Amino acid sequence: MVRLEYDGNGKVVSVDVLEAPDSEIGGAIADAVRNWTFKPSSIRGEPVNIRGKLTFYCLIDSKGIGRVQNPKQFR
Amino acid sequence: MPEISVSKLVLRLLNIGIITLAILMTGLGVRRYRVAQLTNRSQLPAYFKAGARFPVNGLDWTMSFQTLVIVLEQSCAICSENAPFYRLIEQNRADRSRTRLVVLLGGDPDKATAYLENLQLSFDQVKLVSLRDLKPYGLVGIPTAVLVNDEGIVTNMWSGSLTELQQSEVLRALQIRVESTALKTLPSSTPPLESIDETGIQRLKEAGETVTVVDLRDRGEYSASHLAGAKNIPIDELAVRAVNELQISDMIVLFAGETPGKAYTAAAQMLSNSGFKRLRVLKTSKP
Repeated sequence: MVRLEYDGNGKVVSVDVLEAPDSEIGGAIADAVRNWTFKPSSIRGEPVNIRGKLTFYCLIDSKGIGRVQNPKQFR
Repeated sequence: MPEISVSKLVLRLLNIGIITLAILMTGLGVRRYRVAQLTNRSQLPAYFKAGARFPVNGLDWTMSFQTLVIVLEQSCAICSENAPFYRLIEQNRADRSRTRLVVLLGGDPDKATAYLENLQLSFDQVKLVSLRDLKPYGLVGIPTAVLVNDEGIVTNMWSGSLTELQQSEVLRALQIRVESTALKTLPSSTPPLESIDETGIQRLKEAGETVTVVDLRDRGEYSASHLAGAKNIPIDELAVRAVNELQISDMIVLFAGETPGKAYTAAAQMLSNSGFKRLRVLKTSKP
């Protein structure tokens, strides 16, 4: 679970890992999210920063290979 | 029969001609004015704002004098809280040719019917939409109630949880008269949850039940102290996480701390919309 904020250009300005099975997985997800660019948001034409939380579900198979799935896929 | 001279007859015919011409010219003028007005209307910006054109196509505004469009989302707790007020409108409007009720519903299309049935809401038209597509048109809050006239122009708008004053304003705009106490005595959108204490939970577990205690507080409060075995899902994460992390067959016991506010109602509504029916509230203030 990460909390993130992106600015009026869609650039990620902060990422906090709120919960993770271990620090490596949490760190990998935070690094990935920092490289994301969101579709910029605006209210009545004015660019705005957006804060929110994202949930990732990490599945590790019997070979030790991990995959990240979003909640809908996970379900 | 009196005799009419030729000159009088000509004069009378001339008068009739002038009057007919005047009527025709007036008619043409009115028509041109109406066309110009309609052209101007179609040029109005489409936006969620009074005076703008309502930004969703496929709705027939001419079926009634005005239309109340309510924008809802299936996982939105405030939408559920407002449901009794929407029912009050539905039950007290005079006739459908004056006010139509339309809902624009976001969320899983497969669950739309069950969602509306669960809230006991019935509308004249339900249109499934992607709320993300409406945000560029200025939709900033959900639920939003938008009053639209018979030409598709927004005349008024109310967003979020409605105060009693705002509810009165909506009723006035719709010309709906209700008893003065009707708004004060609106029923809760969800029936009160039964409570259960730790002993009760233990008893259920011994009887073979799977019980999951869900702590709805934020992570800081949960870390400070919590009931052994309780799962922490902060309430703002519940809509996403519950369907992935809780089992519908389990007994779900909710805990929201000493000052829960509307947390239990909101959580129960969210869970109930996702199919969780076996819900209880933990009867203790200190886990």
